[in-house]
Amino acid sequence: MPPNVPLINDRLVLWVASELHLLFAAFVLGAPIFIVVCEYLGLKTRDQRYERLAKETMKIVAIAYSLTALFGGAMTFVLVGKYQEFSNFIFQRFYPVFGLYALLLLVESSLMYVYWYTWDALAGRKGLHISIGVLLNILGTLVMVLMNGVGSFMLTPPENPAAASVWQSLNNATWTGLNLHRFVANISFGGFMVALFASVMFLTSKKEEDRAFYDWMGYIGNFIGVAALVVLPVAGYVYTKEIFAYDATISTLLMADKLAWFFVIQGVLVGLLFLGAVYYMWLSIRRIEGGARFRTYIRGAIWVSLVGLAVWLIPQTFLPSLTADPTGPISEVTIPEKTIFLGLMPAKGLAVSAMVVVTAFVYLLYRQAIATGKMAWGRIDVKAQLVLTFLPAVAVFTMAFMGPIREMARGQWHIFQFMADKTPYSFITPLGYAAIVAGIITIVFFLLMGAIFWLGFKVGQH
Amino acid sequence: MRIFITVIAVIAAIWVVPVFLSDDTGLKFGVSYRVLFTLFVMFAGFLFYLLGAPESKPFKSTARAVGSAGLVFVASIGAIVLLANLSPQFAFEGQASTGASSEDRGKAAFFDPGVGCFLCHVVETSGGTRGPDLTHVATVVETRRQGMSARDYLKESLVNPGAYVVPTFDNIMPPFGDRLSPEQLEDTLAYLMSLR
Amino acid sequence: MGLFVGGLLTGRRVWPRPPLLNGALLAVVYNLTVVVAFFIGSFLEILHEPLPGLPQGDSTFFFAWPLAQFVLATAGAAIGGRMSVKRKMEE
Repeated sequence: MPPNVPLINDRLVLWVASELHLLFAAFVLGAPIFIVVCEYLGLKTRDQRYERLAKETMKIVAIAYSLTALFGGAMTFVLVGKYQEFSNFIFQRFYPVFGLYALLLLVESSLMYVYWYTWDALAGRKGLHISIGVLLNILGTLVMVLMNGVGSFMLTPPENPAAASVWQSLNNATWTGLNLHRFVANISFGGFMVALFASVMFLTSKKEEDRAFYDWMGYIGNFIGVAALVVLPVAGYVYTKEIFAYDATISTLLMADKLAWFFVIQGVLVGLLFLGAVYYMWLSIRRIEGGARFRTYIRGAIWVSLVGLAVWLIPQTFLPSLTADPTGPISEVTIPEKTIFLGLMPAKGLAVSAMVVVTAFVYLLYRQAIATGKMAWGRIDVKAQLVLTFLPAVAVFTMAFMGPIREMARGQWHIFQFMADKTPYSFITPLGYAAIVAGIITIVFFLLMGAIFWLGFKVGQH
Repeated sequence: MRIFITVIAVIAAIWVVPVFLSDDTGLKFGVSYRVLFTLFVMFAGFLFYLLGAPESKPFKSTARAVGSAGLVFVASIGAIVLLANLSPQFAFEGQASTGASSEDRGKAAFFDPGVGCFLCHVVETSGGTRGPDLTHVATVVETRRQGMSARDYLKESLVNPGAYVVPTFDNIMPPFGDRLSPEQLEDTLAYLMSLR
Repeated sequence: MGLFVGGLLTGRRVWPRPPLLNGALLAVVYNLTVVVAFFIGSFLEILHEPLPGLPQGDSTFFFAWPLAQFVLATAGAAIGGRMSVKRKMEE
């Protein structure tokens, strides 16, 4: 921390409040998407497990919703109280947007309560109940899209921001990329959180039939988490490409300058997610009769993913920024000549695609195994439940970590090249510091989720 | 056991082989890379150990089960935070110097992240490579365009970069006419003109 | 395109066993072969820079191409399987 800057400062408070808001929001937006899908599947297949999954998850969403709003409020208070020049501009410029946002939130909250409290009452009219759920999701997505407009405006405002219209400000260069990336990431996030609940319930269940159900629920949650995960590198690439097209200096800051090593860590995180997902499949396939013959393929997939991850991680240089001076010979910290291509985008792109393709392949294998073998739900290795704890931890940390990357890409600007950040906190924090803050946010988030979960599931049972 | 031996052998190879390679091969990975590969091989070894591990017995009690899950959780996050802290860190950036001369102020502007010239242009050994190297730009551009002085050329490049794009480079430089105040523009030009 | 047709053909042939896997496997093997070829080519510096048809510095191709191939091959196999079902039903 530079001198004269206190350890707990306005920027840090805003950082924590906004990230917690974002994490809860991701959950209450992502989970309802597949809650509704599960409810529909339950109706179609008459498999009661889908119905149970949907209902139990919705209980958590209903309670988490208020925490989302709480942190949103906290975030707004800090903005208005401590960043007045910025707040004045943003709330004036986006006044209609915020008005619409408030209205939509009101309708969405009401619908959410209706959806939850009429679950049993509308048991005979599932079509209507599902329609309410669909509407809830559409509203939630709209709410997110509006705020994404404000957030993306800060990084990529239109030309002449002072005179731009509300629509021009909203429909800026990275609005679409951010919408796409966040929409898909929310689904993945929701899936992994459901997998986490399932694993905790599995580990604390006394009855065989409960364990069978929670094993299945963990599988479904994980499946959704990974299905959305494989789309994310593409969505992220689209988003970054939009940033590059808008202004090449931002993307150079991201990939070659101070934030470059943040992306190396991001590579580690995403690699862990893919490998964890495949490892879960490895453990799962054991409980399917006749599943063992697929293990060679899974092992092959892990080899490919490991090589892919290695390529993804190899940095062009170990120097932390473009203006850093090496303390020793430059050859010790720069990639050797003949392997330069490994540090460039084509190699990285191929490595990521290879990981995505083999992971998708393993999941297809798994479906084949289920179709041709006999599944023994509940008999899964307990290590698999620990994997279902590992994956959400890494997924949430990834989100908490990517947040500061995006915000700090603006450098010393509140609104890029338009409104400078004149506070003493406008610096880009070093990697270690950002990771520590992200770690604290992740743990706080899980403690709060744990409390909600305990409230929803354990308190009621006594 | 087999995995352990393989891991040790590979790590040994990572550290021993480069010693015998000369720099001309273009394959000599430096110390930092060898550390990265070592950590990676250790991780891969751990993963393969997990793949081969026998089925675990169910937990003896709920408390142990939840405790293990919590431990996995904290350990994963802790490991990542540790890795991030061991990775290369830049120093907190200081304030851009105000400097006595126009050239000094121009140099500060050049390397100011809020302006961003250095992100795409190299001077000496500092900077990015998306745009042309500017180490000797004042000399290089003196005769680049007929009838245009070096200073005029540089000013046009700042204010209207698309007017002339150096061959093999893309037209991606943003215009700086609005981003720099007239004083900053003059200071930056003074700095660039000093790069002979 | 080749993969799509390949997927179609194998899909028709292996019904009634689920054909999805064959299309996917084809794509995986093909992708990995080309990736390895690209890496070896880059290492030996025998590849044209940039690759023919691509603009300088473009990397979208390397992201999009393998995924598109995978989707096409798998979809081809699925459709091929379905076509085979229709054909078998008619017999």
